[in-house]
Amino acid sequence: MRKFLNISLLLLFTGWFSGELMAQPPAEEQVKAAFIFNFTQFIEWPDSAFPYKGAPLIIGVYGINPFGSFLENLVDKEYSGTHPIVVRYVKSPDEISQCHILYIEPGFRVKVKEVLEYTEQKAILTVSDAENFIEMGGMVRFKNVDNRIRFQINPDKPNAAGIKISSKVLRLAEIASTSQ
Amino acid sequence: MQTQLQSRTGLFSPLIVPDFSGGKTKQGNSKFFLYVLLMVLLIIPSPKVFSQDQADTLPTRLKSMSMEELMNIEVFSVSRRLEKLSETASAIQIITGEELRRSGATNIPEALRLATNLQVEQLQSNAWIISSRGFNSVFANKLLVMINGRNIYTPLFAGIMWDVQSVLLEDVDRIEVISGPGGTIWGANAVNGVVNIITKSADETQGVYASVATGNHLTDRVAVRYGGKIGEKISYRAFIKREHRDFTTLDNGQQNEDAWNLTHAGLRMLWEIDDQKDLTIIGNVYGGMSFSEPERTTYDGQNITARYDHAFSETSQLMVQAFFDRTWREDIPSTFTDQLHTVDVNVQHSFSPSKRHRMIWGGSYRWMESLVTSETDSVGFVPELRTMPLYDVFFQDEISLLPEKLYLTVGAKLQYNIFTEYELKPNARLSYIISPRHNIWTAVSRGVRTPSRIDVDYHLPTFPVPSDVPSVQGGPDFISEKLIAYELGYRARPTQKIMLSLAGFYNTYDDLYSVEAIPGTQTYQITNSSEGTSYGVEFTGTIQLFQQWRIRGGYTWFQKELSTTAPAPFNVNSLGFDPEHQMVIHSMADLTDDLHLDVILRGRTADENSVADDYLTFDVRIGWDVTNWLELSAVGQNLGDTHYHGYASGVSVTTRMEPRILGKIACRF
Repeated sequence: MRKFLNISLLLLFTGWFSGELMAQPPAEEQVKAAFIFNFTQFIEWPDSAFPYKGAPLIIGVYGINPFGSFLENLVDKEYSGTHPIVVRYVKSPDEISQCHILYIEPGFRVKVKEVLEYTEQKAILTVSDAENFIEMGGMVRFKNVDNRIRFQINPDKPNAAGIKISSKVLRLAEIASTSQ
Repeated sequence: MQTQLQSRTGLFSPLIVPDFSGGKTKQGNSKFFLYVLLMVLLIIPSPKVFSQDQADTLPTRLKSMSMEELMNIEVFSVSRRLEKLSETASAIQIITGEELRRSGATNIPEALRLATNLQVEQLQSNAWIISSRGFNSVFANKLLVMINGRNIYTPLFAGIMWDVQSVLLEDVDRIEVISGPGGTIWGANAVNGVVNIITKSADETQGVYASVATGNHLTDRVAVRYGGKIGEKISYRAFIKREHRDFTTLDNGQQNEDAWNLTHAGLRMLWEIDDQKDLTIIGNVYGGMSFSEPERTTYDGQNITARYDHAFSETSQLMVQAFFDRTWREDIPSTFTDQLHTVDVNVQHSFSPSKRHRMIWGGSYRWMESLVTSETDSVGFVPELRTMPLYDVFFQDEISLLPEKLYLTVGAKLQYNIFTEYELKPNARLSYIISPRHNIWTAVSRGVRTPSRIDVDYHLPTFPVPSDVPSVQGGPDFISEKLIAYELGYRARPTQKIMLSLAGFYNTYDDLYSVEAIPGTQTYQITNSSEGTSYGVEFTGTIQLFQQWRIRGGYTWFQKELSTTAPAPFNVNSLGFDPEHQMVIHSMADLTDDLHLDVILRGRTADENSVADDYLTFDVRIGWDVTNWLELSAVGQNLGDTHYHGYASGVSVTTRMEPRILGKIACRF
């Protein structure tokens, strides 16, 4: 029993030291959130996507929220042009259709294709890290390559929806066009 | 009165005489200075204490970075696979490649120790026994184990020869461990559990990996792997590894004759034909010897697997796989030479005819040719050569009774084997998603353990003897062992960083193995006169305490009650040496960016029937990333109780599991 206590204490101390004393590399989701923030700065939505001039730019998160409160904190008091940025956790097709960016968290019975169907014909930038997201009709896909975040973009879909992506973003993306 | 042979240590030796006597317990020792050493590590302060990085908050920092800079930041991620686990109505655990490499495990059995729903015991330097939910023994036969979908059991006793099962641990993607019958798609032997060791695909292991390691038990280990591409669509990797493991010591101080080595070369290739079609080829060649007396035991094997995957759409996928496997062993202590050829073809197709149904169907054909010869005629397999074809078909439907809420999976597998002809394994599973944060599942399944050669063909002696002379004459009427399993499980993900899972089971077994004499004679046969029940609870969890500290682990409670109508000397408790309590805690901590400390605490209570005592022991691994291509690590294993392990065989063999240390240098380019 004493040995068990000793070892437990050992584990506890190890964790405490490592947790408290050192600078922490960011989590995958935090860097993705930072990319999403950049998208709001370097992408233009058509005027028709907003009900009125200063209407909020809505980032919708569908599925289990992977960001915690990080994404909300990141975009707090920030603007995309004249539009204040807000984060919403969406479920229904109605809520989805009001978003300007839709982040789809895969897994847990999230039928990615179905969700993408609700975004058809609308100026919604769809983002996910689901496998084959582009092939299924998504616009931006995050990849973790060697513990670094990369992203693929299929420019055909945003173009068709009237979304203008700055060359600053396109330059860094892996272009994955589905039109053959 | 039972015929006994002098048995020496050797992998086959317990086969010579199924002896059914009990054992006694012993005390273990502890190593206090190792505790002191570890405590010292706490005192070394991290230089990062004094860094200024903490001044800026993370959101501000990230927002101030350009996208180019964001693309260069190294991130850490929690395994996404944890999400998929919640979708499965079974007691599944996944050990990721990363967790495996952060454990100090040096081979597959040590890696499987990380699965809290498996019982793993090392008997000798080259012998392990592994099972799930009971019945662990040298004859453990209720676990289906695969490497990349290739079944690795031997039909000799429906178990695994663990010493020759080898993978380059660096390239393991994950190990999936299901305790319980697991579902329709798993084949023969998936009675108490299914293990699949999956290596990374060829395109994920590019570049060079080279390592050398040595220590006081595992010595002279060298491994080299090269991964490259041919054109755009073909990736491959080739590796060779070799190691030597030293002998172990008996409790009387005498040295076991179980030092051994293994050399293994392998190749894996991936051809991405197009976005929907893939072809994977995996080949392995291995060989080695163990230093038994009076001659060395030698073994070798070759296998090749080809798999074609075709994704017709998001919901329709086809897989066709074929493998050829040859294993050979000349085991000196038992005087057996065993050769096995296996050819297997299997097909699986999953599709969704409507929104509410996800179906999988498939079939397989396996042909096994087993040749077992013996130097002596006092024991052996009759006939020496047996050809065993095995056919099966299965079908499973996952029905969405209430979308996003309630799912019912029903399925059945029909199998044909030469011993018992047709066997049906139906199962039904219900999964209720209470909320995205937790779900509950329940299942009823029928499992079948089909006869193996040791049940049917085992003869002692191999020549006919009169019925008043004691002998064992196989089990010509042996039928399959049967299981009905009732399971209930609960999974919770209260926060992103905590995952918990609880699984309870109640198993009833029928037609279990027994040995009894034909009435009025001294002729013993293998029969099915035992039965029993077992039940237990498996608890597992993973907690990401800080970004740099992850703890995973679990506890299993297990009870078993067996009975038999076969008279003495058969002891039904010899069917399994299973502890009532078992626990594993695995802590992975990054002390700094480059320094990693991993600790595994593991222990179990003694089981009534063997000489293995209670033990609580731990393994430690320290890894240092000296540069981005060079890693040094040191591993200590069995640092707690020097627990003894014994197994009741013809001769009681009690082997010490002494502390082991290992130092390793690894390069990655």
